[in-house]
Amino acid sequence: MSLLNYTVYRLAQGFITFLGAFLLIFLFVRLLPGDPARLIAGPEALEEDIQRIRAHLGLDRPLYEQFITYMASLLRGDLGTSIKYGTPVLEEILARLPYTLALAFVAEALAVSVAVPLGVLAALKPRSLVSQLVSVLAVVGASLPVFWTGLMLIFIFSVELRLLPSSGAESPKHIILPSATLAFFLVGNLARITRAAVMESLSSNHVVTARAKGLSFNKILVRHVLRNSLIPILTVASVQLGALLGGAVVTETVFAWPGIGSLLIDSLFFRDYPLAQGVIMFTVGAFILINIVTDILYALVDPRVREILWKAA
Amino acid sequence: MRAISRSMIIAAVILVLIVVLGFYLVLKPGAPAPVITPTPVTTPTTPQTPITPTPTPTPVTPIVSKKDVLRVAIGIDLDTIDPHGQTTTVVFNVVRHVYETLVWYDEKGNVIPWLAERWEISPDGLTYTFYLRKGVKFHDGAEFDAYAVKANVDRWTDPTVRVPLRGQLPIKGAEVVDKYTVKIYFKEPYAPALRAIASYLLIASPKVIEKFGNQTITEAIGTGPYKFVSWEKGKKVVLEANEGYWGEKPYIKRIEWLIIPDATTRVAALLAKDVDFAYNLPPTDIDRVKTAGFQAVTPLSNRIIFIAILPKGPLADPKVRQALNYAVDKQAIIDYVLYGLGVDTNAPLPSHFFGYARMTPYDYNVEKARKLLAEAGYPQGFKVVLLHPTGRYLQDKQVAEAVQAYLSKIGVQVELRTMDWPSFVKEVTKPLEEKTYDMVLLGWGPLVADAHFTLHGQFHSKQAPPKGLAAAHYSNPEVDSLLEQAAREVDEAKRRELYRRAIEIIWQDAPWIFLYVQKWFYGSAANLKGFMVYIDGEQIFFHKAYFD
Repeated sequence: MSLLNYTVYRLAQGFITFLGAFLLIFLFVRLLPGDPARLIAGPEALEEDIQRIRAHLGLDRPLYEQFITYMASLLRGDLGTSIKYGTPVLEEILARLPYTLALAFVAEALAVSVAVPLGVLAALKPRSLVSQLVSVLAVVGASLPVFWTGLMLIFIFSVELRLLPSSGAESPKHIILPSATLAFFLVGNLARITRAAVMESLSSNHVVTARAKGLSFNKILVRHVLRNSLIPILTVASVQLGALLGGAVVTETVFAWPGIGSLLIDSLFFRDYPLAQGVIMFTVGAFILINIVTDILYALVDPRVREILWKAA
Repeated sequence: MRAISRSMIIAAVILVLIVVLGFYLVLKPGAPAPVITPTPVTTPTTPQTPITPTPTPTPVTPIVSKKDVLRVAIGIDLDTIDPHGQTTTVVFNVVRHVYETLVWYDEKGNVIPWLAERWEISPDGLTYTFYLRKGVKFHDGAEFDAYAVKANVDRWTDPTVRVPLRGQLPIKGAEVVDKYTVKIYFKEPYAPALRAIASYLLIASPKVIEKFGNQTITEAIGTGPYKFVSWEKGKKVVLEANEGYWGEKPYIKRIEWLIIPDATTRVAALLAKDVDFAYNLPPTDIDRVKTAGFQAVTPLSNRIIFIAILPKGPLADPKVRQALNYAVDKQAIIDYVLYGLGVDTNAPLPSHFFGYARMTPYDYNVEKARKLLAEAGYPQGFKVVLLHPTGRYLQDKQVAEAVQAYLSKIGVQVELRTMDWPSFVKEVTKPLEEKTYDMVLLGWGPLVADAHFTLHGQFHSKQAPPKGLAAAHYSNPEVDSLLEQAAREVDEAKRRELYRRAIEIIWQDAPWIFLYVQKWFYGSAANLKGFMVYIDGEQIFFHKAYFD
């Protein structure tokens, strides 16, 4: 089996998962109590106005009929029209997507570039200060709620020091605080995984052999240790990235970052069914895709995985 | 192992340090006890003027703004810029810098000429004739005239157009008399008509109406002092001064409305001077904002906050409901829970509304409350469930908790229950027999400052859920008939009298625990002057704002 076949196989598998998720999303979004028509018109509105809006949105028709209509339009590539904005859902998602992508990748890149060197150093000197720092970071980063870290950073760097903008997405400067907030949350975990992986391969037989052969330590580190430690790092980083692509809801809200996460929250609070299910479907899709890409990457970095995975497929 | 446990200790110490530092940063200049900001008690007998920190300047020399870009932080994104699709006050506020109306309000709430120079009302109250201002142009160059008004009215009444609040302005149609005279017809006499026209009928360019037909309008073209430039969803809305404005030209050249959902972030953005003005800040930050040298703007809103009591069990007895009113110390709640951001108007509506009448207060009196409960046959009290939203109104959860504490003093045990807003609304709109609570904390803030919208919406028996949202399921044929008469009465004095009588009955029946009218808390840069606080206390207009 080739890489291409494997990719096609995984994509097909992902598509089926996606369909299942889609049905659940359609139902669950509508199971939430609440009436979008009344939320549009506001509590002070008259009943006749609310009835009219409901009919206008097609919400007065039975659920299966709504489902069929939605599926039919989906097949034409139409994700429906947002109840709140009255504009195509796809347009809304595409407008927010660049922000989410930028924040997710910058945050993850920041986390990886801090965590991996830190983790490697910690593994090389398990009793050192760096190693302790990794443990401390892991606990502190994971214990502090993201909104707290975010507000702290805003108050320190924007209000007190006046160095960085407090919120919004006007310039590249604006991405610093939100991505730092997310990275702070991610770094500890990633560094700990790196440390564990590197320590494990340091004590493995082939590294011992390489050392016995008299290879230089740097060469061993790069060619034998790091390559073997990549898989767990890749796994954690990709799961983190997948979660970030779903929209870092809290961070986006705190920093008024106009990404997918804040769009999802808005649409759910407004019971904007088409928009909410559009965003969730996008998130699910992104997650499935990232998983597939990660598996392919495994296969690329590790010939043993290639063997096992392709056989299974 | 030792290393790990040592690092755990270090982690714990760092966490504690960070949390302490965080509290210091976020809460400084820390208010040791709840701060009582003495709010000027307005004499409720006269219509209330919104409290504007700066009176409209009457400069001898023409104003030159030191800075010509104004950045404003708002908490929610716009939903639509369609002039007839508006429902939300903040969104109205933004687009009303672009669109104008035939008539408007002055600062006392009187209806004043705007795009119409004067008007006549037919004796039967069915026909309103407007004589329009000449020489007004839309931003796209189209002329403002009777045909433009008719195009807007036609769209408002077109059943295929999504006009959420059509029922609040039940127009039948419009007729062009001549180029600058237009008649607007109503289906039946509708006393709040002028006020509703001032609030809802935003006039868009006829070219845009022609272009979009019954679809949602996505190009905002009006006659207002600002032109619409752009709207980046979830991010910002940009307006630019209209150099060809028919009235006094705006001083600020560009307004950027930034969408910042988190209230604490809005405070931070103001303190960091990233924005010049911020809407709707948490009351707990009022001292911080003031000490940092910013203006705290605290206008009275259109929104009355109350606890609707369902007429079931012990609560069906008016004596019991009066007892609950005596048992709650409203002034203490306003001072300590709301940080002064509320006003007790002693009536079921805000004091600046047309039709307001002041009633004898239910003064805080535990003894009297106990006595009334005993007379009603409940000397030991009873149990009730109080439903409340969280985060919808200022300090809503905290107010519910305070009420819970007060009622426990007269033996009424309150169980608190909360839900997210859509579920909450769903619960409140259920029929009486399906409701799983006994009392509900709710706010009611009509866009039009007229007693009709509060009283009819909350006390007419036909508005009881599931049909409407009259939360107390109040039903009194006499009140119904008074409210119906008042809605059709064209004579203002007679209309006032009808509302006074209705309010008296409602006040005695006590279907609510009458609480307070909410104030908003906005923060502004110290040198921003001349902005106007609208009569509804929620909208701020920057037509004449400038930086000193």
